[in-house]
Order: sequence, then structure tokens, then C-alpha cells
Amino acid sequence: MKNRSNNSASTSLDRPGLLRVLRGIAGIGEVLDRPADLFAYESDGLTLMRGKPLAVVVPLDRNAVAETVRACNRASVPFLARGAGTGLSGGATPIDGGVLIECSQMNRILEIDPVNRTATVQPGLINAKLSEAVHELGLLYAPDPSSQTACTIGGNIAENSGGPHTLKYGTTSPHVLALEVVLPDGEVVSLGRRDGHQVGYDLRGVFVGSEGTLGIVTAATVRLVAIPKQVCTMLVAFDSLRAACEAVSMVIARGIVPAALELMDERTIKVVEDSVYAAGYPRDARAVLLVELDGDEAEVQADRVRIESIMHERAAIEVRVAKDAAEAAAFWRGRKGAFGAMGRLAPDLYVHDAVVPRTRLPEVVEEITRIAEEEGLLLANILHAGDGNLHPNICFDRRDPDEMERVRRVGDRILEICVNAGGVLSGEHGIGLEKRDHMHLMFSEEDLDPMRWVHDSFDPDDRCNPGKQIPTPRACTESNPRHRGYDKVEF
Amino acid sequence: MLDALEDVDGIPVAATHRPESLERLATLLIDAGKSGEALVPACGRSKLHWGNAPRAKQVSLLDLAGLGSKIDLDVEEGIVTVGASTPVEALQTAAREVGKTTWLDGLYPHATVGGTIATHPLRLEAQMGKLLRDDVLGLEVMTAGGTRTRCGGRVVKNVSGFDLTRLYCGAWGTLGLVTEATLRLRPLPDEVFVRQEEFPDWKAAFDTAFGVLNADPDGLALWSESGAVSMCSRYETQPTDGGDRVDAHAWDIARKRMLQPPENGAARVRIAGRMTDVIEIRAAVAKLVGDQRIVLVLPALGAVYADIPAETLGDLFARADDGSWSVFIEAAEPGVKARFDVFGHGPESLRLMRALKTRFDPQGVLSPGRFVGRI
Ligand SMILES: Cc1cc2nc3c(=O)[nH]c(=O)nc-3n(C[C@H](O)[C@H](O)[C@H](O)COP(=O)(O)OP(=O)(O)OC[C@H]3O[C@@H](n4cnc5c(N)ncnc54)[C@H](O)[C@@H]3O)c2cc1C
Repeated sequence: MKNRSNNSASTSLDRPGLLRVLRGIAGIGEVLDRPADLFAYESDGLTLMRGKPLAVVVPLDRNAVAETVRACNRASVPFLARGAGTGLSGGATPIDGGVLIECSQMNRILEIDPVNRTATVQPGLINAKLSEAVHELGLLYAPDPSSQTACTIGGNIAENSGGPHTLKYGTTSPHVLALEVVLPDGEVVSLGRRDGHQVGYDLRGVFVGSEGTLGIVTAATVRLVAIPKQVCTMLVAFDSLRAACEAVSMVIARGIVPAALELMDERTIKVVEDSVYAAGYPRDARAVLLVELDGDEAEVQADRVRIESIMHERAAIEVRVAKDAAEAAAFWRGRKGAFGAMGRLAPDLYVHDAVVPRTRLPEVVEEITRIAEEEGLLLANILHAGDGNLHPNICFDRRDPDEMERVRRVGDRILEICVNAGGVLSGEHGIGLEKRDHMHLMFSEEDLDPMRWVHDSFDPDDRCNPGKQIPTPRACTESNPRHRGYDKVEF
Repeated sequence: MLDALEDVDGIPVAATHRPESLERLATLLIDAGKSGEALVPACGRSKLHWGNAPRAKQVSLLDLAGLGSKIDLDVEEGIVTVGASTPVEALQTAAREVGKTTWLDGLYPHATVGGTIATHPLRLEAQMGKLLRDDVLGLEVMTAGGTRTRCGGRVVKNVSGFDLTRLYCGAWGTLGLVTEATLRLRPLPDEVFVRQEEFPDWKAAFDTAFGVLNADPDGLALWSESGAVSMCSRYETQPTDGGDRVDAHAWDIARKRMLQPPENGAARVRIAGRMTDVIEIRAAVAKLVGDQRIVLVLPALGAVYADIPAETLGDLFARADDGSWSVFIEAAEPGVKARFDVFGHGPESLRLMRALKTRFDPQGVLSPGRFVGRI
């Protein structure tokens, strides 16, 4: 391991001393500590939960990250990484006055290896920039969160992010070969190998999706894939969400693996069509399904015929096949703009995220929609239906305390319903602060213990993004440092 | 029931436990923790000879074959939940009947689901992008302390907490014992297409092989025989670039070469790197021991398998010293295992790996010494 830290030998620091040391680190672009500068860092995309950082540092290289972490250790101050702050579970929300390490300026592509189809990048690189950079080589980076024009590779790795094409290509984890990481004690270490071979425990695998609690990524080698030779995008309309969900299950059961199977409900269709993202979705449909197939021409054409027949079997009211790339882009414009379009419905949007076995989707969506209606809330559904991943989106106004309470209640019920249906708490947005206390819905204390063993192996002092993802053992809620700051987070 | 074993890599087997329930398994683990007994889990025993020799004067074999082998296929969901003691062959047969398959390696006879997840072998019929660990959706694991735990789930997408499933895949049972797994089902290919070609030398073979890689074969193997180099490529969808198609059984030659045990006390070794590294790895191995000892060259996996005499292993490790290739001794005599860590040079994160082992198995009950860095 490189740069093993020597915290014990270093003198401890008080907070003014910490700021002084941070300002003296070579390779730090900025150190912000004025309240007005810190305001923008109080939350990520989940603006319902907020906390105040002690300071924000903007490192330009790995050594600056490592030095920052060591300084925080000397001051016994927690720290956390932030990418673009588009996370939706409070992962990058600082609690209890930690130092926020903003990685967005470490945004270079370090190496592209077209033959072995890999790229090595810094964590602050924006996801979409990587596919843009390798496009002319006939390659792309497959994980494609809807936020890909803003979110960073580091954030994607921390959240194990998915996207519409996860159905065929998987979430971020299978695309990450190796990581360079600053561990919570300031040591720099590689996890995984750039050739993808596993030697020893798959620390790379457990790090991906650990929401910035096990260390800070300073470089990543990721896998690239060939741009598919042919893509076929279809828009299928149904007069019930149930029929659309059943069509999705039938596609999977028949052994077809589309690149994407994305579903929108009636309210989403209408709001999209009323907005600048209007995509020509049939306004009278109760559900619109986008199906994308990719691969070799013969394979795509054969699957297209099979899909069309399934859709008609499941009583689709309309099946449109995009004639060209422009029409396919128009189909996607509505789906990708749907979250933005929901701004028309209310000032605030709570994007939920959970997964159920895909055969349970119709009943779960119906139940969630009914509960929201009973509570008088506007809810619109977007589903990565092929993965059973649902995003019930609650539109609300945070200035109304009574509505806020109902939003919280419905949010809790959504998670209970999904877990009771055999599902899980999150398919792509992670646990963060938002769902940390719901982890007990899914896991027993015994199930959570191995996660704590992993955490304690990496971060025995609990300094790295504390209070996120893994709940404190029930018995020691009062004494354990991971409890620190929980109650200071506003909801 | 398999015969009693006398030793594991030269370490005497003092007892064989055959738990028939998870409760009994838990008791055995708790008792071992108290008494300091070293347990070596086994099931189909197809890979019991893999790994370092146990670090103990004697071991007890923990034969998990009696723990049941249920197979619960859910075709609509595209998943299967399966008891860890289930033979891979039984699972694949059941899956085949409903037009599905899994990414479990089917090369080694008698291999079980749990053992395959634990050892996470490279699949001959795959590329590096298609690893079993990416298809393991959920696991039931008994901890070294005898507690039943679950991780992951029964859905195909899940980011709820740390991804422990990946940690247990390839951990060789040193962090906990997999007792049940939920895996993704994959469509069974309608037909398998295999092509075989011969080349006068390795250069010509590699020139073609790297072109073939662009057609995304599900398996690409090269080997040298009687002076010529053979290449066999396998596809699960019809290759678009035409060319001759031969009987799918031609691929069996590659499988047979892998299953043929090494001769004259040689060690079966896997040397791995990036796809393009196989050219250099092949040349280095040939220089050390000659082409005839190369079992298979697998460009899609970036791996070369070779049978290396014990006296040459030191040179091979020295050649891979800079860490750009990984060397793994898959099978070897106990004498070889006493001299070398079969996993080669440990990764730089070994300290973290030791910390994990200490927390997951504080008494060192599960296969002590068998893993990388003799963890
Ligand atoms: C409109 C919209 C659409 C979205 N669509 C999707 C979608 O389709 N799929 C999906 O999965 N998500 C989606 N998201 C959520 C979000 O974009 C992802 O979680 C994304 O990966 C976050 O990246 P970020 O750079 O913004 O990270 P941040 O929000 O800044 O941070 C997220 C987490 O990563 C950690 N982190 C950041 N950088 C590092 C680093 N270098 N090392 C270690 N940890 C680090 C942080 O500590 C935090 O825990 C969407 C969000 C929005 C607002």
C-alpha cells in the first residue's frame, strides 16, 4: 500500500488549526468555510434532508484528497466525498460538521485502452463525457443514469447506479474493474485489477455501492462496450398499467433480453405531453412502455417480431417502431425529461426508488397509487419495469407542514409495501440517510452485522461519511458514534 | 456419500462432520470456535485440492452434501433459488428443461452451487464481462459463529446496503458458508455455433483471434498440437461474419484439455492479465517450459493455463513480480504448496483482507490458511 498514514505520530488539531492545514495542502483548489459558500452543499438532490459542513475542500489530485483525510483524522473530524450532488438518498449530505471533499475538479480521463476496452478516469468525470470521449472508437460506457449529463463516475460507483439500460448491461458494479481509493485513515490503495481478475476478496465489489462510507475513490478503471450495431426503439401504449406490466413479464419469461423496458403511467404521460419534453405519447393511454432492443441486425429484427407479437397478445392499443434515430430520441426525450416535467405539478418532488419482483409490479403500483390518493397526494409512476424497479414520484409543497407529514407517511408505506412484496429498499438511489432507518424492514440485526464488520474493517474510527447506509445496532443507539448527528438532520 | 478423506493437501483429516440441518451446522461451528478445531468445508470435492494447505496440525472436513438441494425455479421472474449443496449439473438440467441456464461453471464434474460460488472459477464459456458474481442476486450464509444471515435479495436489481454477495463470491468459504443462493436465469441459447481453425504459428493465430474477439464469442480457446496452433471459438448466437461452422462438440476438445490432470508432478497454473497480455504471457510460458505444456490460451478471458514443473514455478512468479499478471496455482502437490502461496503475490489490499477475516471469523475456524496471503 502506498502513503500509509501516520496519524498517531502527528499532533492533533483543533478546528481553526484544521482549516489552516487544509489551506496549506498543495493540490487543493479551494477551501470554503463562509456560511454563504457552504449553503449549496447542505444537501444533495434529496433537499428534504439537510446538514451543515464545517468546510468544503476542492482537491485537484489524489494526494490532496489523502492529505485532507489525514488532516481530518488529526482533528477527529468526519469527512465525506461529493460528486455532482445529484444523489437522491442524502448520501452526500454532511452531518455533524464534517469536511466535504468536492471531487468535481478531478475530472480527467487518464487513459483509454480501446483494444482491451477499458478507460481509467478520475472520479469527478461526468458520466456522459466518457461515452462522448470514446464514441469515435465505437465504444460506450454502459451505465446510463437519467442524470448522466450531470452526475459523476465517483458518485455512480458509490451508489452502484443504474439506468434504463441496466436491464441488459447491469448496474455500475460489473463495469468497474479497479479502483484507486483513499482509505479512511489516509492510506492509498488499489482494489480490484484493471484486467478484471479477482485475487483475494472482491473488495472492489463491496466498495461499489458503499455510498462513500469506506473511502474516497480517486481513480477508476472501467469497462467499455462496443456500440451496438443496431438499435430498435419501440413505443407501446396500453389501456391499463396491469396489461403493460404483464407484457413486461412475458418478454422476460420468453427469454428476450431487451436493452431497456421503461414504463410510464397515465399521470406521467400527461405531464410529459404538457411539457417541453412532449414526445408524442398517446394522451389517452393509461401506460406507455418503451422497449429498446440492441445487438446484431438479425438478432434485433428477430426479437422485434417476437416483442410485437407479445404486445398484441397483451392487448396493446398501439405499437410504434421508431423509423430512425431521431424518432427514437423523441421517444426517449419524454422518458428522460419526465422528472423535470413533474415540476409542473407541484413545487417539490420526492423521487422514491424501490424494487419488487417484476410479476408483483401491477398490484404494488396499484396499492401505492391508492394510498397516495387516500392521503390526497399527487403521485406519478416511472418504472424500470424490466428490473422490477419502480419510481413512485410524489409531487408536493414543502411549505405545507400537513402535506409534508403525509409525504413522509406515504414514503414509509411505499417501502413497507415493496419489502412485503418480496422486494428491496432501493434499486439504484441507495440508502443514504433517507432509508437508513428502514434497513430493518429488510434485514435482521444478524444480517446487518456482516455489513458492520466490513465497515469496521475499513473505517474503525467511523470518520468516513458517518451515519449513512447502515443503521446503528439497536442496542447501542445511544453510545455508538455512528448515531452522531442523526437527530440534527432535518426532514 | 463420498469416501472419508485422509488428508487435505497433506494435513491429516481428524474427523468428518456431515451436518444434515442448518441447526446442526451452527452447533458444529460454535463448537469449533470453542475448541479451536479447523474446519475445511467441502461438498462435491471438485476443487478441494484448490487453495493453500490449511494452517493447522489437523483439520476436520465439513461435508455439506447433506444440507439439501432444493431447486426453486421462477421463470417469470427469471431467477432460481437453490440449495448450496445442489450439484451444478442438476441445476443446469432443471434450468434447461424450462429453456434457461445460469452462469455457473459446468466444467468440473460433481461441482456444487455453493462450492462454485465460493471458488468463483473462470468460466471457459464466457468473456471477462460475464462473471458469475454479477449474477448472484442473494445468498444465505452461515457465519463462522453459527448465525444464519441473508444478503442481497430475490430481485434482479438491488442497492440496499453493502454488496455482500460479491464479497462472499470467491471468498472460498473463509468468511462464511453459503447455504443457499438466488441466481439470475439466462436464456438457453437455441443453438451453439463452434468454429475451428488451424494456424502454422502463434502469431497467425493471435492475429485472427483478436479479430474474432470483435464478434463477441462466448468462448475462445487456442492450443498448440504437433507444431500447429488450433483455435476454437464458440458462439451462443449465430456469428454475423459467416465462416465455416463445425459440430458443436469440437468445443469439447478445449474442455477435455482443461480436465486432463497435469502429469509428472507438475502444477496446473493460471496466469492472467488483460486480453492483450495473453500474447506475452504465452511467449513467457513457452520460453520457460515449452508450448506443449500450455493447456489453453484464452484471449477473451486474458488467461493462459499451463502445467508447470515445480522447479520452474519460482521463475514464473519472478516473471510476474511486477503485479501486471496474476498467477494462481490451481492444483499442485503438497510439497509445492509448502513452498508457494498458490495465489501468488498478495494484492496490496491484503491488510484489509486480513482485517475482514478477523472480523468475520475471529476464531479462525473456516479453512484457516487456505486463502490468499495464507489468510
Ligand atoms: C433527475 C435525476 C435523475 C436520476 N436518475 C438516476 C438513474 O436513472 N439511476 C440512478 O442510479 N440514479 C439516478 N439519480 C441519482 C443520482 O444521479 C445518482 O445516485 C448518481 O450516481 C450520483 O452521482 P453524483 O456525482 O451526483 O454523486 P453525489 O450525489 O455527489 O454523491 C453520491 C454518493 O457518492 C459519494 N461519492 C461521491 N464521490 C465519491 C468519491 N469520489 N468516492 C467515494 N464516494 C463518493 C457521496 O459521498 C455520496 O454518498 C438521478 C438523480 C436525479 C436528480
